[in-house]
Amino acid sequence: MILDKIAYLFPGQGSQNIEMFAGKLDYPAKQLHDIVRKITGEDLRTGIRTSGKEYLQNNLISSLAIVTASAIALEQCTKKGYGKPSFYAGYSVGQWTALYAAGALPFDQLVSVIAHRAELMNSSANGRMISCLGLSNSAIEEFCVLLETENKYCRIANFNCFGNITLSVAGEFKAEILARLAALGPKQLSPLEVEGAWHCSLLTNARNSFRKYLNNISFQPVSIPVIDNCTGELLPDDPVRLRDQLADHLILPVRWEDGINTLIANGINTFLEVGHGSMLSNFGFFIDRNSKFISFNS
Amino acid sequence: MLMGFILDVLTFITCKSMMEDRLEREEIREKVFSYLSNNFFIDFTDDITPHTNLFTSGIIDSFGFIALITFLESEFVVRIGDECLLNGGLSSLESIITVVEELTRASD
Repeated sequence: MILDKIAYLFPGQGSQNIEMFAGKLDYPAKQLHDIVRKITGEDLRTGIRTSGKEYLQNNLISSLAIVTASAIALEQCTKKGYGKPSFYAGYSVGQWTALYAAGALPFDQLVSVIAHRAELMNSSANGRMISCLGLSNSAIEEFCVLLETENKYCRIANFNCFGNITLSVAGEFKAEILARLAALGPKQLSPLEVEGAWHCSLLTNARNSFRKYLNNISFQPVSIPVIDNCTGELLPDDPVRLRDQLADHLILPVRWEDGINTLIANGINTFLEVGHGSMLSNFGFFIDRNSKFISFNS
Repeated sequence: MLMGFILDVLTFITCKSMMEDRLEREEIREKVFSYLSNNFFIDFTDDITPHTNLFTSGIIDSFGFIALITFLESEFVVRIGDECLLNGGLSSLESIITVVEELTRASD
């Protein structure tokens, strides 16, 4: 199957569900699951089968599951001849899958990084996240500024697509913020089933520790350029700047829409979501309806 | 006498136009009602009224929203713009009908 100028997209947390890894445990799934088990002690397939949704709500587990599902799907879609992509992009933890796909680090190192990242995030997990559908960016930004004057923590964590934003809030203000957001008339508000408030300054300590940890990671030059999900531009080649930016991702909002628009400006007209689910393809529908967004599930 | 005739004609034209508008809205209602009932298994009763927010009531999620927009654009040959995605637009049966009605009128 030959597609047009294509970019591969790797999902982040939010795409996981109990239908993951339901297929046969053959190549490449078996090999990749074995590596995850060897490094982290987690048997994702058994965990999902026995503990279901609750198991997947854990930050470490959902991060590992998302990345592993994408790595399996990547092997499969390469085998099926979807063609060489011109760019990679990944959403949140999917940024790391994109780096793995581009050859910056091997799978076993990817798993170690993801596990350490999750552990550090958990140590700063004192907030909650809210998904908000149907309010403009400017309305939410004004809302956040207002709350700031009241010393109530509320930040935009993910700019997903038009009218779709995720907020990170201090846990103690979650109920009040939900009620006040509802008064602004969104289509939908839903607290997310994640363990903390990601992509915001509540993770500053985690960011600093992660930056130190990344000094131990040596990155290979990427074979295909990777979009930075927090700036919407390409990730830098310089290893020091790369480590800085990857650490900063923990405290910066995901600007997914910007990254997709950068790819479109670079001639991409087909996006293949590689992993589990179709969250990124859904966002794509609201970013550019002239582009094709296709999900390839493992 | 001539004046009376002109008034009668004008009244007839106005009434006809109002009836056409009503018919158009009814036609839109019928198609949207049928789509929502068949695809989201909505039984519009006392619990779910034509004014119920289908998002906050958990009937339509982001996947369903895309399917709804795709249906509206193909069925009524309209383009759902960004402004319709914010706030209450397309949230209930009535608001969907209003959006489609406005878009079809604008494209006439």
